[in-house]
Amino acid sequence: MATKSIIIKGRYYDSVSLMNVARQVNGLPGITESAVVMGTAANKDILRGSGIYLAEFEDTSDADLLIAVKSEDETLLEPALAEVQRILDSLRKKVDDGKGVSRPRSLEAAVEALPGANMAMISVAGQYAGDLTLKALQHGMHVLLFSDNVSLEREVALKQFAHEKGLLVMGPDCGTAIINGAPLAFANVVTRGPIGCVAAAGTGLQEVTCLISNHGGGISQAIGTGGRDIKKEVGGITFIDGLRALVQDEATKVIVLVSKPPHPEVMEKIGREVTGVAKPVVAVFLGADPEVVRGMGMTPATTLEEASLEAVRLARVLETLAEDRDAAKAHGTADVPPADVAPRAAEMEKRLQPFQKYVRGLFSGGTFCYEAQLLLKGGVDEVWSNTPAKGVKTLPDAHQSIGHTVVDLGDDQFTVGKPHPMIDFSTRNKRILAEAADPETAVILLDLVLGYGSNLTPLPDLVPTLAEALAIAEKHARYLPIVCSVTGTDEDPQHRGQVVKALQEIGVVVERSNAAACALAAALVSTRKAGEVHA
Amino acid sequence: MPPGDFSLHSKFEHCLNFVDGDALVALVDETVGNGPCNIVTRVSAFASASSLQVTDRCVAIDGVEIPTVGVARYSSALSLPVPPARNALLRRLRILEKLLVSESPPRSLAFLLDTAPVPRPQDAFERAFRERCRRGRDLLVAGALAASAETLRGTGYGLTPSGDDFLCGILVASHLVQAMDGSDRSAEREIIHRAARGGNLLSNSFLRAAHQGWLHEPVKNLLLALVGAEESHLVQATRKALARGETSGSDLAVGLAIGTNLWV
Repeated sequence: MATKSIIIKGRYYDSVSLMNVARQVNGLPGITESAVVMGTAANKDILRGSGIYLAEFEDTSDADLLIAVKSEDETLLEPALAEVQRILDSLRKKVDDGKGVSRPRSLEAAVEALPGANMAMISVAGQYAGDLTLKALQHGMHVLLFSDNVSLEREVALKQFAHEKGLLVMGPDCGTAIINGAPLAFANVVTRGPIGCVAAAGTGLQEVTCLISNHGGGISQAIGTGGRDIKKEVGGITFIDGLRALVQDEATKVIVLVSKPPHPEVMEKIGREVTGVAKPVVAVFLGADPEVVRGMGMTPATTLEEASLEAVRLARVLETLAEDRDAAKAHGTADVPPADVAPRAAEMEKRLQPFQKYVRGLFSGGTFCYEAQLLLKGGVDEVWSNTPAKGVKTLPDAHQSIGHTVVDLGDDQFTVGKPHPMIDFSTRNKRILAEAADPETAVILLDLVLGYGSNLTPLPDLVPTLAEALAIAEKHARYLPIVCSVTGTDEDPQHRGQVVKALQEIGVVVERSNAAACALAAALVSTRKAGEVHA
Repeated sequence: MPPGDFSLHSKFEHCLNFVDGDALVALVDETVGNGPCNIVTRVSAFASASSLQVTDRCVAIDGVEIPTVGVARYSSALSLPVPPARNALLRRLRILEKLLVSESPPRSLAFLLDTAPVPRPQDAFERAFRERCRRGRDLLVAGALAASAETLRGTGYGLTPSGDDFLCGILVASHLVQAMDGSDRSAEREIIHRAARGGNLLSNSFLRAAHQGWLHEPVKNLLLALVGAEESHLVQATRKALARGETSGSDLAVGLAIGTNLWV
C-alpha cells in the first residue's frame, strides 16, 4: 500500500468544500483512502490514526492544507493528487471570479449557480413568500411553496399568473411532493412507477404514495397543491393543471386524486376535466359521495388505502393488458386486504375495564385526523375534534378531550413557536400520557409519519412515552391498546420495517394503514356506548 | 473593532478576512451580518481588496477612506432580559436540539447530540474524526475541560475546524448560564480558552470573542430566543444561526446546546 501527499500553503477552503473534494477523490478508481484537511495538530493525530500520515506533514502548521491519498497501485497516486489540485483550483477560481463556492443565499444566486433549473422550493416567512414565488415564476420555474401565511388573494393571483405561463404553484402550505423521483419537503422514498398523484392533502399524499410503493406499485409524480387550492376562491387551478400535467406525462398510466371534498364548483371543473382523460382516474375525496364521483368518470375510493390499492390494481391491469388481454381479467378486483377487524377487536375489548369507553386519536397528519373522523363517526355516537369534519363536534378546548376525541396536533393552536409534530413529538407525548391517565380512554389511536423532513429518530422520541403510557394503565389495572399506523417505506431514512418491529415489541398494535387503524379502534369501542357501564 | 493595518488573509464569497498580527477584521456582506469584528458592506465591490486600515475615525480599503464617525455600531455584548425558569430553558433546549438534528447540514457535529442518527463515515479520516469529537464531548461532560478542549482544538476539515466552532459554543454557553443564574463561570472559560487556542488565526479570533462574550448577531439572537419571552422566535433564530458558514453555525450551536445542558 502506497501513500503520497501534497501540501498547499496559504489557501483556505470551507469545510464542506474540503469534505466534498475528499469524497470525489475517494471515488477515484483504486484509491482506498484520502484526506484533505488543514494541518492542525488534532488533524495530524487523526491522520496518524487513519494510517495516512506522512513524514512531510511533520513541519506543517494549522494554516497549511494537507492532502494525502492511498492506493495499492502506486501509479494511481500522482493522477489522484493532480485531480485534487484541479478540483481545488476550480473552487478557488469560482471565488476569484466572484461566483463563490457556498450555498446560494438568494434566488438570483441560485439561478446563477444552476442555470436551467425549472423548479424552486420556497420556504421563507409568509410575508416574503409571495414576492419570491412571483420572482421564481418570472424566471420560468415551477414553485413548491412550503411557506404558509400567504393570503388567499395572493395565492389566487400567483396561481393565475403561473397558469398563464404554463407553470405550477404547489402551495402555499404545500408540505410534500415527489417530482421526477425527487422527494421534496416531507416526502418518502418510494418506488418509481406508472401512478401519478395530485393532492390537496399533504399527509394524505404521503400515505397514498407509500401504500402504493409498499404494495408493489410505483409513483411517476406526486404533485401537492396546498389545501386551499380546492376552495371556491382558488378554483382548483393547480389541482387541474397538475391533472393535465399527469395526463401529458408519458410515464403516468394511472392517476390518483386526493383531497377533502372540493367546493362543488371546483368538483364540477375537475369532473369536466376528467371527462376527456383516457387514463384511469381514481379519486379519494374524503367524505364525498362516491356516486357523485363515479358519475364524473372517476373510480371513487372512500379511504386513502382503498385509493392506493385500486391504483396499484389498475396499473397491473394496464401492464398485463399490454402483454396478455386474458390474463388481465385476473386483476378484476382490487387487492384490498380484508377489513374485517371484528374478531381482533372483540378479543381486545374483553380485556378493557367497563369504564373504558372512548377513542382518543392524536394525529400529526391533518389528513389522517380528517380520515379518522369520517371513519369513526360511522361507528360511534359522537366524535369531537379541533378540526371537525362535517358531522363532528368542535372541541371547546383542543387540549382537553371529550368522549371520542380526534385531535390534529399539526393545527396552528399547537404549533405556534414549535416545530411541526411530525418533527417534534413533545406535545403529543404529553397528550399521550394525559390520555393514558384518563380511566375512560379505551384506545389511543396514533399516526407516525416517516420520511424526509420528519423526525429522524422516531423510536427514541416515542417509545419511552408509549411504554410509560402502558405502564400508567397497567398500574391502574387497565389494559390500554395503542393502535398506530406507520406511513413510510423501508427505503426511508427511518426504515419503516424496523420502526414497526420496535413498536410491536413494546405492545403497540401497528396497522397497515390509517384507515385500518381507525377501523380497529372504531370496532373496539362500537359496543361500548357512552354512559353505559359493562358488567 | 481593533485599529491597525491589516492585510488580506483569506477570501470567500461573502467574506474577506484581513489580519494584523493576531487581530482579525472581516469585510462581510449582509448574509453574514453583524459580528464583533465585522464590517458589513457590499463585499463584491471590494473583491480584489488586499489591504485594510482601521482607525477610530475611518476604515480605508486599499487606501480608499470611508469615514465611520456616526455610522451605526453593532453591540456584540450579551444582555439578557429577565431569565426564564430553568425548566422553560430546558424545554427550549430540547427544541433546539431537535432542530439541530433535523436541520443541520450533513457532516456537521450534530451527531454529537444524543438523539442524532449516526451518518455513515465516508472514509477512515472521518471515522477517526468522529471518534475524536465524541471523546472531546465525553471529556467535557466528565468535567475534564482542558483535556476536552485540547482534544477538540483544531479537529475538522476547513478553515475554522468544527472542533474550534464547538468550543466557541461551549464558551458562549458558559456566558449564557452565568447570565441566567449569576454563577461565576470565568474560571471554566479561562481553562477552556487557554487549552483551545492553537495556531489557527481565525479560530483564535473567534475563540477570543466567545471567551469575552462578544457574539455574532445570529448567535446572540439564538441566545435571546432561548431565554426570551417568545418561544416562537426559536425556530427562525436557530435557522439563521445554522446559516453561518458551512457547518460553523451548526457546530457552534451544538456546543452551545451541550454546554448549556451541562451547566444549567
